[in-house]
This record gives sequence, structure tokens and C-alpha cells, in this order.
Amino acid sequence: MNRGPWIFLGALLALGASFYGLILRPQIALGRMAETKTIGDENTYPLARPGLAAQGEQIYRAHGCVYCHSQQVRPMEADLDKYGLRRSVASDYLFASPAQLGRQRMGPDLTNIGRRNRTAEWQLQHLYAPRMVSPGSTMPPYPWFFQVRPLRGEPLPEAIKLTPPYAPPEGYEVVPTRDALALVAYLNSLRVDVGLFEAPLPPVPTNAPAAGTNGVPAATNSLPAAPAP
Amino acid sequence: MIPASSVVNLRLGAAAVDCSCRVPVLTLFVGATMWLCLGLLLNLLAAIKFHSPAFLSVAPWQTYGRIYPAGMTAMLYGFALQAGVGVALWMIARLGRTVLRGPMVATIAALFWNFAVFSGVVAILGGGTSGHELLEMPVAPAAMLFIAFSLVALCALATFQDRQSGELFVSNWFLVAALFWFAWVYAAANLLLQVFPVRGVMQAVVEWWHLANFTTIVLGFLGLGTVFYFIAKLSGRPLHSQLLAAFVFWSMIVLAPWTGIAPGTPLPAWMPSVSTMFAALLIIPGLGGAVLIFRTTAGAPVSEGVSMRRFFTFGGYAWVAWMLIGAVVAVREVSYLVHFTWIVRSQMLLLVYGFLVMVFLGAMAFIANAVLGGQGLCPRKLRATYWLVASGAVLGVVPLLAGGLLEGMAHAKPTVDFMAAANRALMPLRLSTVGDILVLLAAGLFAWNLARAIFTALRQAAQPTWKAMTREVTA
Repeated sequence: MNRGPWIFLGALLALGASFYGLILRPQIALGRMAETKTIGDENTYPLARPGLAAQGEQIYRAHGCVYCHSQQVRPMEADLDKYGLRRSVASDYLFASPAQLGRQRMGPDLTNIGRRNRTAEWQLQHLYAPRMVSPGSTMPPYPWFFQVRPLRGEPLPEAIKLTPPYAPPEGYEVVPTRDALALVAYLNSLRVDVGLFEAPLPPVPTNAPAAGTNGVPAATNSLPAAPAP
Repeated sequence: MIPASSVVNLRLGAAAVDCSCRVPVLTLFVGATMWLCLGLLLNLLAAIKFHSPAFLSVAPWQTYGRIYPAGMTAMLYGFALQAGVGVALWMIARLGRTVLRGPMVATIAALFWNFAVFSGVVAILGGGTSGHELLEMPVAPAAMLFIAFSLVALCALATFQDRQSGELFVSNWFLVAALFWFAWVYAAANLLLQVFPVRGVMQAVVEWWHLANFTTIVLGFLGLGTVFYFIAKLSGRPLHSQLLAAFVFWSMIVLAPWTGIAPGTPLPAWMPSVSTMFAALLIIPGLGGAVLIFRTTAGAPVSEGVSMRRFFTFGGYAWVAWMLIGAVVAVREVSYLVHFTWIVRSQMLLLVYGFLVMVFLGAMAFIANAVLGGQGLCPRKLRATYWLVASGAVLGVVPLLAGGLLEGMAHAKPTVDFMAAANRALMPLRLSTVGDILVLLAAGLFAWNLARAIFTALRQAAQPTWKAMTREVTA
């Protein structure tokens, strides 16, 4: 069975076909994608992230958040119930750099974390001591995003409030660094709540109390598209 | 008229072939073993964080999102690929009945390889990851790894071209294809993600395309070529059917490169559909492999080789299980249930612990014995290594499979909130940590065994010289 050249040719064709089919062709189609218009109010979508959130995206990448948090809502009931108003589509990731869709959910999906009415304070507390605000969480704490500093007179306005056993010792305060603020800005910029031609928002019955199962006010098609961040 | 050089080569015994491989292959093996130990250690640290999230969280490099990818990089690029290429070098030389070409180049490239993985792991721990799974290494280490790999692969190809035996054993197909595949896939993915990055969701497509090709074809073929060679050799009979092996080869290279895109991903619908269909069809080569392994080993006379053969039968069946699970979870309905759960991780552990670690530890032991001559590795420690890896693989994978299924079914219920569903997998997850520990122990034991064998051989080689020197001094 000395058919070396044939085997090589076969392998070349097989790999070449998949490279053409899965990479080149889609790149020709998807790579040219540009901003689209939202349904109803014709806003440009998506918008690039502003500076601080863009820096936060790099912190998200560097800390490997993607190994536990996906950013992808599949067109299935459970995902739509818990994470999104509509399925994720290619346009949603146009400005993601790097695109971090993820393959595991050891923590919840973050596609719409910016819509979940989490205050910046909550996010910071959650980063410093996850179990303080989310008992039983398996998320590791990120103390290096914060400075524990001796109190000088009144606590600084940006110092985060902590309860024992997570509070710093008497006479100290915990102040978020710029990295923490950037990461929170990035998290708050994660929201996919506008309807697109290929992924319209589900119709919401009028006059009904608008509330999603996760306590998030459901968006309506006529809602002015919130600026992404 | 036969050229004189080939007459000499035709008479080459196994000993001469082994001698030519000794230095480069052992360099690759020592590096691979060290990365396996380090990767498993990082992997264990990552797993402990699910027992106690606050464990080791003082400095940024200790966070799960850095330790886990650093461990996987060490295990796949440092151990699996390096060991696989080392095994391939030796097998290509042995099967071709020819000496290894460019042993010096291969040795230097192996040193560079280890430096590349080292700088890659350090960069990931320092936050320099590219953010793409299994392509985390930044451009510089990735380029260095690519060059080192290419040099070793060129030595392998030169040796392959030099082969003296007319028969092309089917293992050679798998090995040479894997080398060719890695060069293309790794270069293309790094270029498209880091050098000239594509936009948006195409990054994820490139990442998944690389992931599927790297695991199923590159690592899968390196392991499978090794399995087919050793089960036949250690059973003292030819492979059950060369034709079936060729069928496994062709169906794999046609189908597997299209897999890796899960249903429901934000892409044009045909992409996940094609991917799912081809992944489900992979059940056919999977079963073909099972038939080959079973028919070759079952009822084979118990020979002295049989204690080594179990590394390859276990590894081979682990590969079959991995292929079958991969085919099942690719189906849309199943994928919606279990994608994103711990089943994703259990598949990876099955590939790494059950297949790659098992097969390459067995192959490295066999080849080290051959190239070192003399006593070689301690068989009792090898037997312990086998049992540790086997039990570690089962304990690591099975609980995660069950946990992932439990978790997935809970996630599918709208009434169960995220934490309650995720916590269903917590107990199985903690059980699987026992598996991580066992495989780490196996790697440590193997490293000790290999180091001792090499030192013993070195001492024996040095003894005549030492005696001569001391005689001179005393005289």
C-alpha cells in the first residue's frame, strides 16, 4: 500500500475543502459585515465600546473570564428565558475584540449582564467578595482589582461597602482600581436588547406588566434603543 | 543495480535505527514528561478552586481563568503534541527501516519547542492570552512553537522519504497526515486571529475550526497511529485489516475538519448544520476503530508484550468512547441540553487522560526502553502508572459526564435558577478531582521512572571512560 502521493493529495483536498468551506467562504460573507439598523427606530447597531469599556474588555480577556462565562444566547427556551430577549446573531459581535463566545457556563451567560439592573456597586462587591452578594457562588474573588488602604478621615466616596467577614479591618477601606472600574464598565456595556431584521424582539403584549422571568423589564420594539454602553 | 547506500540501509537492524533516534527522541520525551507533570499540577490547582474558590487568590496569575488555560497549553502543546511527534519520529524511522535524518536539527528544535511552551505558559499566566481556546499563546511563542515543530516535522518527512521498506504501514498515514495538518491549521488560525485578525464572530469560527482539527485530527491521528502500530506489534500479529484502517483514515479526514460548531451558534444556519451532520457521522470511523482494536487484540497469545499492550487497548477504546460521545452531543437536541455544561470538560478529559496520556506514556516507555538499551524503565512502576492513569481517567470523566447531564437537565427548566442548576454538578465535579490527582501521581511516577532509566544508562555509558580515567590517574 505505497500510495504516498495519493494520500497526500487526499489530505490536501480534505483539509483545503474544510478551510474553504468553514473559513474562506464565511469570511467573504461575514467579514464584510458592517453596522446595521435596528427595527423600528433605525438606529445604527452595534456601536463601538467607549474607551473605559474597551479597556475592560482586555481585562476580561486577560483574566480568562471566558472559561466560565459564555456570551451567546441560543434560540431555545431556557436560554431565552434566562439570558436574552432574542437569540444572538453575528451582528452582535461586530466590535468584540476578541470575540469571546465561550464553550462553558460555570457561571451564568453574560450577553445581557448590562441589562440586569446590577449597580456598579454590586458588580464591584461581587468582584471583591463573590460570596458576599451571591452566597454559594463558585466564582473566585479578585482582590488585586482593589486597594485596601488606611482610612484618612472620611471614607472615600468610591470605597465599596463590605459586610463582615469580608469587610477590611477597622480603620481600612477598600477602593477599586482603574482595572476594576474598566471591567465593570465593560460588563455594563454588555446588552443585546434591540431588534434586528434577522433577530426581531418577541412581541410584547401591550398593557401587560412588562417583566421578564428574571425580574428584568422586558424591552418593547418601540423602546428607544439604549445606547449600547 | 541497487545503490550502495541502500544496501547498507537495508541491513540496518532495529538497534541502528534506535541509536539514531536516541538523543532527539529522548529530548522530546523528557520535555513532554515535564510538561505533563506541570500541566496536571496546574489543572489540579484549577479544579481545587471549585472546592474552595478563595484558594490561591492573592495574585492575578493564580486566578482560574489563567491557570486553567496555562495547564491545558502545557498538557496539549507541551506534552501531547511533543510526545506524539517524538513517537512519530521513532515510528517513521522504524517502519521505514532507516536511520533518522537530521537528529541534531531535531534535538535543537526540541529545545526551542520547550522554550516556546515555557514562554507561552508564562505569558498566559501573566495575562497575555489571545483569548481564544487552545490558541492562547501570544504571537511570539506561537511562532517559535511553529518553527520548532516545522523543523522536527521536516526531519520526520526526510526520514519518511528515505524509507527502505516498500510496504507503507497504515500508521504512517496517520502520523504524516497529523504533521501536515498541524502545520496548516496552527499557522492559519494564528494568522487569522492574531496577525491579521478577522472581525467579530469569524474569530469564533476560526477558533472552533482549529479546536476541532487540532483535537480530532492532529492529536487524534498521532495517538491513533501509535495505537494501531503497538497493538499489532505487541499482539504479535498484523493489524486486523489494513483496508478498515484506511477507511477510518479517509472517513476521518473527510468528516472531522467540518465539525466543532455547536448548534445554535450565532452564525448562518448552514454552518452548525453541516458541522452537526459531519460530527454525527464520525460515529462510523469510531466504530471502525473499535472493530480494529478488538479484532487485533482479542485472543492474541499472551506474550511478554502484553503488559505494555494494555496502555494501547485502553487508550484505543478511550478514543472510541470519545468519538461516540462527540457524535451524540453534536446532535441538536442533545447539544441544546448539554453544551456549556461540564460534559464539554469531560470530553476534553477523556481525550487527554484516557487517550493521549495513556497512549503516549505507554509509547514513551516502550521507545525509551528500545533506545536506551539495558535495563530501561522499571516494569512494576509502569504497571502502577497504568492503573493510576486508568482509574484516574475513569474517575475524572464519568462523574463529569453524569454531573453535566444533571446540570443540563436542570438548566433546561425555567423554574430552576442558575446557581441551583450549576450546583447539581458540584458533587460529581469534586469526585472527578480524585481522578485529576491520580493522573498527576501517574505522571510523577512515570517522570521518576524515566529519569532513573536515563541516569542509569548514562552512568553505564560513562563507566568505561571513568574507569579508564581513574586508571590513568592511579597509574
